[in-house]
Amino acid sequence: MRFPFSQTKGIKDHILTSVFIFLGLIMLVSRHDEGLQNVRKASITVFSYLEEPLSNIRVYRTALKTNRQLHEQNIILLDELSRLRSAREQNIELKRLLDFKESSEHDVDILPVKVVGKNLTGINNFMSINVGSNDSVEVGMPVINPSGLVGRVVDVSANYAQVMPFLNPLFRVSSRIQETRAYGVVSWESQKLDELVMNYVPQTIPVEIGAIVETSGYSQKFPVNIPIGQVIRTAPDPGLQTQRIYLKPFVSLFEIAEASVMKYTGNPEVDSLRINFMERY
Amino acid sequence: MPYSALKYILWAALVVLLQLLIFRHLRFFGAEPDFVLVYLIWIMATKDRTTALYHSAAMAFMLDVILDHWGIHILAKVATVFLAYNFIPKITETKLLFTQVFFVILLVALFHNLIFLGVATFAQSRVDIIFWNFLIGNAFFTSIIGSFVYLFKSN
Repeated sequence: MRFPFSQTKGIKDHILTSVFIFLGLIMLVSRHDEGLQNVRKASITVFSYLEEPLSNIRVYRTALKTNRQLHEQNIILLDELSRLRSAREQNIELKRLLDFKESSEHDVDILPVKVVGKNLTGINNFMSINVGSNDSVEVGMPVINPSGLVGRVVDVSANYAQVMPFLNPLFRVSSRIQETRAYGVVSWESQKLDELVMNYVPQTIPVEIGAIVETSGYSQKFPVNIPIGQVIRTAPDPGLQTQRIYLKPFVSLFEIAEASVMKYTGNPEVDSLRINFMERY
Repeated sequence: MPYSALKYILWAALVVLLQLLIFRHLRFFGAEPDFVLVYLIWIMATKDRTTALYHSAAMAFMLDVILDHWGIHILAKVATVFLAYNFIPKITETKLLFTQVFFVILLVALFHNLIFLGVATFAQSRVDIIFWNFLIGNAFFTSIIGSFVYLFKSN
């Protein structure tokens, strides 16, 4: 066995290592730069091409389970639908009496997609889907499935798109608790693979275990009323007057094989008002 | 391009493909084997350090670009090859036992995973959730796969 650094001829290896380490550091530091976006797009395409055959196996494997779940969900939804229909009629009538301004919240196209690649290792989790700019998919569009929110599109190539799922430390979604309408922001703390956390909800607001958390639509990044998860526990935020609400997400990213892209890009008018406000104050 | 260089490139590309298409999906309790690292250990045990460094940089670059890790694999694999090279027993000198191969791969994989997690933390990824699974689980899984590959190859 030789000892390290004992050979002078090894100087070439030292220089080579330094060059490679330097290259790695440059890649690490500049990974979010605009200049790398084209390389990223190419890498999404390569990754998706490689993973696509495996995604077919995943689709078949989950098809039976999904079918059973959808069947059960369908029965529950039919019952809920009939109750909602009567509530809607009543709501329309009451709004008409109050002269309330109606806004269409879910009037967006939905594009069914197949998940062709997944990288859910815990470090920089992402997924690839088989639609891209050729299908009018844009960066920022929400991705959902029948159970709820999956993530949002963060990069698009011609035929594929990269999705940042909710299990990513950079993911944030403006949300609210269905019953109380208390507003907060849901994110993933990288602690557990089946737990999200909702922040900024005051401790004065009572939150029941089992309450449903959905998108609030306030951020203009996601439409309102997309289910995210169910409250499993709460804890006071140390040193703050807010609480941390822990959720179990409705969607299991490890089992998902198909999803839908919502062609929703927010309301530019509301966005411009917000930008003006930020600039002014 | 010399024939030997072309052969190395093709083998390296094949190993990366195998890692991406097969080994990355062999998850067992959240742990997955790193076949690229097994191949790099074999290169370290049979070739000179310069060749091993070129291999590690090229293969890690491919993994980084395809898996969107951008630099984490390069830093971890190049540093591992550079620092571990002198401690890897050379296969041309001695024929190693199964257990020796297992422990060599285990130690290198632990060292590599530690650097990988360190770099990932530096790159602002929280690694608490996968720390032990990645450090210990992946290292064990990689050593098992590597030892069996060595066993079948030597037989």
